[in-house]
Amino acid sequence: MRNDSKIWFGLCLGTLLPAAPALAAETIKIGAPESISGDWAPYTAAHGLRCMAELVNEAGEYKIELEVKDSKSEPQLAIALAQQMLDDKVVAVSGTPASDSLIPIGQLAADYGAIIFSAMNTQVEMFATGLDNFVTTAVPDPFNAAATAKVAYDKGARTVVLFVSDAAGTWTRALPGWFGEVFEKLGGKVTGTIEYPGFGITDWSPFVSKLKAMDPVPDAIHISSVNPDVGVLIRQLRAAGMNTMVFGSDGFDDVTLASVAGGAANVDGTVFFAAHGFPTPGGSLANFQAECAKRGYEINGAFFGLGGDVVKLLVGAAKAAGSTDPKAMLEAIYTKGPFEIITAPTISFDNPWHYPIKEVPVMGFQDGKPVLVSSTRPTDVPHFKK
Amino acid sequence: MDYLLEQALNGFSIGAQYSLLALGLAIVFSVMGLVNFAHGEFIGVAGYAMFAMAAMGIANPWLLVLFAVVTVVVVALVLERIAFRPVRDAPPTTGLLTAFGVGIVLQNLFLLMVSPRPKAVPALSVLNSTFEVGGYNFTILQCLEVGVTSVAIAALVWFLKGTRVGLAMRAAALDFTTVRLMGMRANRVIATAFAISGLLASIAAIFFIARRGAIDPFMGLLPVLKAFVACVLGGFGSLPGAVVGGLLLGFIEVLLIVLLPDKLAGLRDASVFLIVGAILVFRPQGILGRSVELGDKTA
Repeated sequence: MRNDSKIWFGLCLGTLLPAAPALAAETIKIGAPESISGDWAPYTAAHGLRCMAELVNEAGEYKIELEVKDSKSEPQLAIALAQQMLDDKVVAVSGTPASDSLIPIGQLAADYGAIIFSAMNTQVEMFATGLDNFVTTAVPDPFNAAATAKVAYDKGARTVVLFVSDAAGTWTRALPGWFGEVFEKLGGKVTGTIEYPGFGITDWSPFVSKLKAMDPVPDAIHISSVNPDVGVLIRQLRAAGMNTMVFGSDGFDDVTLASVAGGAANVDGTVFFAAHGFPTPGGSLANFQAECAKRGYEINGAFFGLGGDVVKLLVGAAKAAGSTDPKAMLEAIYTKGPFEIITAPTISFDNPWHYPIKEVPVMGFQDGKPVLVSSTRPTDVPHFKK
Repeated sequence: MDYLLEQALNGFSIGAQYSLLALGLAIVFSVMGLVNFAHGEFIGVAGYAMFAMAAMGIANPWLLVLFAVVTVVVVALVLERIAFRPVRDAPPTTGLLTAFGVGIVLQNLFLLMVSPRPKAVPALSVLNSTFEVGGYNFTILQCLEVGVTSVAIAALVWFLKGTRVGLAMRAAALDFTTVRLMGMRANRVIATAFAISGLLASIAAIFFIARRGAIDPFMGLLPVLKAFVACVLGGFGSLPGAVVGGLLLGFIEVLLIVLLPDKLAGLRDASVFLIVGAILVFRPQGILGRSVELGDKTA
C-alpha cells in the first residue's frame, strides 16, 4: 500500500472509529436501485456507494450491507426493486434520481419507517411534497442556478436564451428559469426561450438555426440536460460558427463532455456548469476518487463522490443518534449537523425544508479539462424564499 | 429568407436520415413481412465498430467508415442467419418479438462490453464544417446527407430493376412462393434484403455519428421508431413510400419547430402525430401504399 492510501485509511479510521472499541460492528443495511444503465447511467452514484461501503467495512466500526441493483433508469423498475429491498428491511433506500421514482419510493419507505435517499436528486418538488423521510446530498436546483448565474454575469454575459423542456420536471424547465431570475437581478436580460422535446436529441440543427436567427443573438444560453445531448448541442453550435457561452447544470458533469462537444477549442472559456464537487488535489474528494480508482472502481466525476457522501452521512447520523434505527438517524441528520462528507467540507440540513446546505462549485474548462471557477454558498436563492 | 432556407435544409437532412432507415425497414418487410425493430441497433453496431477501431489507433476516417459499413452488413447477415431464419415460417408476431429480443441483446452487449456511458467518436467531426455558396452557409454533412441519400436511393432502384436478385426481391414482395417456383433460393433473396438493409442503416449511422460525435448503447431506439412512423406514413412495404414518408416526417418536425410558438411547443410531438394521423385518415394505406381489400392475395 502506498503512503497516500495509508493517509486516506488513517483519515477514514479517525472519522469512523469510536473512542472506545465496540464489541461488534453495528449493521446499516442500504438498498440502492441505481441507474447503472439507461439515461441516468453517466450520473450513477452506485460505484461511490460501493467504494465507501468497502472503506467503512474495513474500518470496522459499522458494517454496511449494501445491495445495489440496476434500475435501468426506469422509475417503475426502481419502485419494484425498492419494494423488495424494503421488505428485506433496509434502513435507507434510493431510486432513479428523478422525482417520478423517488416520491413513490419515499411514500413506500415511510410505511416501513425507512429513509429515502438520493445521492444526486436536486429537484425542489422533493421538498414540496410533504415527504418527511427524504435525504439528498446534492444541493437543490435553485442553488445550482444562482451560483451559475453569478458566474455568467461575471464572465461578461448580458443577454441569455434559456433552453427548456419538460423531460425531467423542474430540472429541465424551472432550473433555467431560476438561472434567468438571478441573472436578471444581477443586471442581465433573458431575451428568449427555446423549447426542446427532451432527452436523446441527435440533431439540434433546427434549434441552432432558431438561435442564430434571434435578434439580438444572445451572449449565452442556459440548458439543464444530460450528456451526450448537451455535448452534441455545443458541437453543433460551434459547427454553426456560434461561439455563444453555454451555461448548464450538474448534467454537464460527465468526464466525456469535452470530447463529445468536439474538444478543448469548443469548451475552453465558453462552457460553464454547476457541479456537486471538485476534486481539489489533496482534498477529500480527490483522495476518495484516487483510493477507489486503485481499487478498480470507475470514477464518474463528482457523482462518484456523492455516493460516498451518502454512506458517510448515514454512518455519521448513526453515530450522532447513537443508533441504527432509521427514525433516530433521520432525526440526527435533520438536527445534529453539520456532518463531514466527501464533496464538500461539511453538509447540514437544519432548515425548514431540510434541503442540504453546502458549497456549490461552478466549473469551466481549460485545455479541455474541468477547472474550478468558483465555489460559493449562494444566499440570494430563488424559490426557497417563498 | 436565410432562416427559412436553413430550416428547409435541416428538414431535408433530417428527413434523409429517416428515409435511409425507413428504406432498410421497408425492404426487409416487403420481402419477408418482418418489422425488424432491431434495425436501429445497426446504428449502434456501426458506432461501436468505429469506436473499437479508433481505440486500436486507427484514425483514418475513410477506414473507420469502411469498417463500420462492412461490420454492419456482416452483423445483419449473421442476425438473419441465426435469429430470423429459424422463425421465418412462424407467425408475424414471433418475428416481431424476435426483433425486439435481438435489439435488447445488442443493446446489452454494448452496455456490458463497453460502457453504459456515452463514448466520443470524433473522427468524422470534420464533416460539420461549413462552406459558403452564394452568401449562404452550408455544412458538408448536410450536403452529404442529401447527396449520398439520393445516390443510395438511385443505386437501390437500379439494383431492384436491373439485376436478377433485385427482380426476385420485387417479385417476392408480391408472391414469395412463385419466386421460389421460378428457381430462386429464398435464403439468397432474404439474405440480400438484410444485407441491403444493413448497408442503408450503416450509411444513416455514419451521418448520425458525424453529427452527434458520440455513441451510447441506446442510440438506435428513437431513430428506428421514427423510421417506423415514416414507413407507415409512406405506406408499409412500399420503398418509394419509405423515402417519401421519411422526408415528409423530417419536414413536418422542422416545420413545427419553426411555426409553433414556444408556448405551444409542448404540443409539438402531438402535432406531428396529429398530422400523420390526418394523412392516414385520407390514405389509410399510406401515401404510396397500395389500396387492398380484405381477402386480396397481396394484402
